[in-house]
Amino acid sequence: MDTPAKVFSKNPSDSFMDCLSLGKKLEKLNSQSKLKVDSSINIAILSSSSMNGIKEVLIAKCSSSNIFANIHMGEYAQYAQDILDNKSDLYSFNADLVIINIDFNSLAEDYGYRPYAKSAKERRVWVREVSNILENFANEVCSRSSAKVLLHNFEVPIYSPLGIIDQKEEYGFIESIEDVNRNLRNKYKRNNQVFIYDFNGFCSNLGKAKIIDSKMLYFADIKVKTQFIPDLCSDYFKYIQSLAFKTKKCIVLDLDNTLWGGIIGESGIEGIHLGPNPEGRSFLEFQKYLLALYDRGVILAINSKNNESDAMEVIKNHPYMVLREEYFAAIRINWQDKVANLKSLSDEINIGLDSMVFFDDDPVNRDMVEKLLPDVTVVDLPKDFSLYSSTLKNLNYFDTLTISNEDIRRGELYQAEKKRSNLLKNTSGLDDYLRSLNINVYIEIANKNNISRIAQLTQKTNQFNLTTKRYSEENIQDLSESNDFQVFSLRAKDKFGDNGVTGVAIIKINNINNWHIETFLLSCRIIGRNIEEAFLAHIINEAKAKSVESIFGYFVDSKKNLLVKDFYQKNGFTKFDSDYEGDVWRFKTKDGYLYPDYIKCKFL
Amino acid sequence: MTLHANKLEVIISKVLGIDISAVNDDTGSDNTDSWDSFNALVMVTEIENQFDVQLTVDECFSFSCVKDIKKILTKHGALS
Repeated sequence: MDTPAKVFSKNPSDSFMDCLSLGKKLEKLNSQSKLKVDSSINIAILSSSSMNGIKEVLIAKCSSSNIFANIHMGEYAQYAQDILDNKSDLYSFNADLVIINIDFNSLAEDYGYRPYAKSAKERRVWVREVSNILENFANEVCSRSSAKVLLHNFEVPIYSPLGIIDQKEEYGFIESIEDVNRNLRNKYKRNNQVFIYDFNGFCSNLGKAKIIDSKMLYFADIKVKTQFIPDLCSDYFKYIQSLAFKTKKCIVLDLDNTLWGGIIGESGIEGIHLGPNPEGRSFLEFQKYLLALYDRGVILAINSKNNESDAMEVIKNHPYMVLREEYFAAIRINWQDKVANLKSLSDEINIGLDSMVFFDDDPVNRDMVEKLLPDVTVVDLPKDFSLYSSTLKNLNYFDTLTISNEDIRRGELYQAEKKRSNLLKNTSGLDDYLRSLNINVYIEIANKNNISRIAQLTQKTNQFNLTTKRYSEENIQDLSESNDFQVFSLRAKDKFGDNGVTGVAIIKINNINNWHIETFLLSCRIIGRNIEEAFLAHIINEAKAKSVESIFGYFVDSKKNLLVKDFYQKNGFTKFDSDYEGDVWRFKTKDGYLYPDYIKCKFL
Repeated sequence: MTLHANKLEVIISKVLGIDISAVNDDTGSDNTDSWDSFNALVMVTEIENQFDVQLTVDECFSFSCVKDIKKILTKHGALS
């Protein structure tokens, strides 16, 4: 049986017609149970205008990341009924994402044609009312469901009956629509359930004059020309990808003709193109855009065939090099093949190949990686290097719905990790090394400051994760307030830096005698320092203090977590049972448990 | 059969989700379930794009089978 990604790879295309038929095909395969679905998402689309074709195209888009999208299309222009009726299909559908696309004209009535029939004061009132209507719909969905809501803003018109002097008018027509958008944006800045989709930006990007097909508009009430529906779905996909935890984490870069023009081994540091001149400027800008992604938490790495000393000289000493050594989490500059390098980068950085995006100007390398490492995303870099920056900006792999402090500091954290590895090379035994790190761990009960990070860790952690249970922020919030659960977070610090919140344990309190470790995970960043033992010791001590007799631990095989298959066995648990989900282990609290004395553990 | 005629059949087969060998002059709303009003509009858009023609409003509503479309395209000089 094929996965959605496999079906997609046989028909990759961005044209509306091809996406339409691919979407239909995927739907059919799924309904006949002929599709191997590992990851699926429920999306409801509510619209004031006709959204024909969007369903199929969105299914096709999602399949490119191996996600199967179950889509509920609201009836044409029935969005209000769907939203306001508790018993509507919208709520029984159990959406993960609700897209609300209410068109300006559908609410504007006469205002769209004769805005100046209203006074400036009346126009302000209209703007407030319409903003309230839109906000109200989003809020109603939130009050009835935990789905994320994606609310379209309005397309700001270009046309005004006042023509060129619209800008002069007190509270002009165009200004008033911009104000609706501004209200929406401000309203939801700090809301983590409602996201504003910048539909106006989408229209501007493609061209407001081009996006409408008058025939389609008047015959079928279709607001976006069918040929642009794939673009709209690509935008939706950014949100879906993040919700389905498919966001990419790392960009792996080639050097020659990728980060700079020319070949360092041939031209030398003076001969390559990089800097504020016609040949070098596009590379300089490309590096600046990459640095901005680094700033938001994307990991950078190098994979280049070169003499290491030649290439490092550029990275360290070229006056216009933006991406200096410290911005790379790991570097492979050697004569090995790129595939072997990618595998070893994935090991060193401790992330899966499916989290990596590969940039290389050489189509042969790209093809080899595509064939041999199908999990790696290979960017189809254009021959014309002046298009590198726009190619990078158009990628939608890195979007996330939240950014944590840990994301922003990620580069710094990897830098500290590199220093740790160097120290390891210089100390004799592992124990001595760990002792020299001065590890401090701080354990804390879930609270409003760490809930978002706790949820994020449960969503992203694959390797050191005993059960791979995913929780939303709302789930964690609920558990933290429940008497039947204990949610612990762990923060680790050592002499090279603070790793931030990097561990989570969720305990289910079955009764006064038994605790169940429903989730136990550590971020890959802190694996290998026995911090897990200090964490487990804390749970055992807490249980003991409450006279709990047995602690049950679970291991559920996710194929990615084999690292921790024997975790409970190694830590003095005995096999209790195996059920359909995995192994169950038991620890009796009357047995003692010791953790390494070089870790200082504090419960806050 | 000219190259252009084949282009039309590719469009029809893709939009309707049927095999290209099943597309002939008589293929139309009478005998093909997927030939609905939305798909007819998708055909118009695709035909306009790929043949570089603009159909009139009357023409958009006047066809119900492949033969009709061919007549329209011939009239526009896009098909000989």
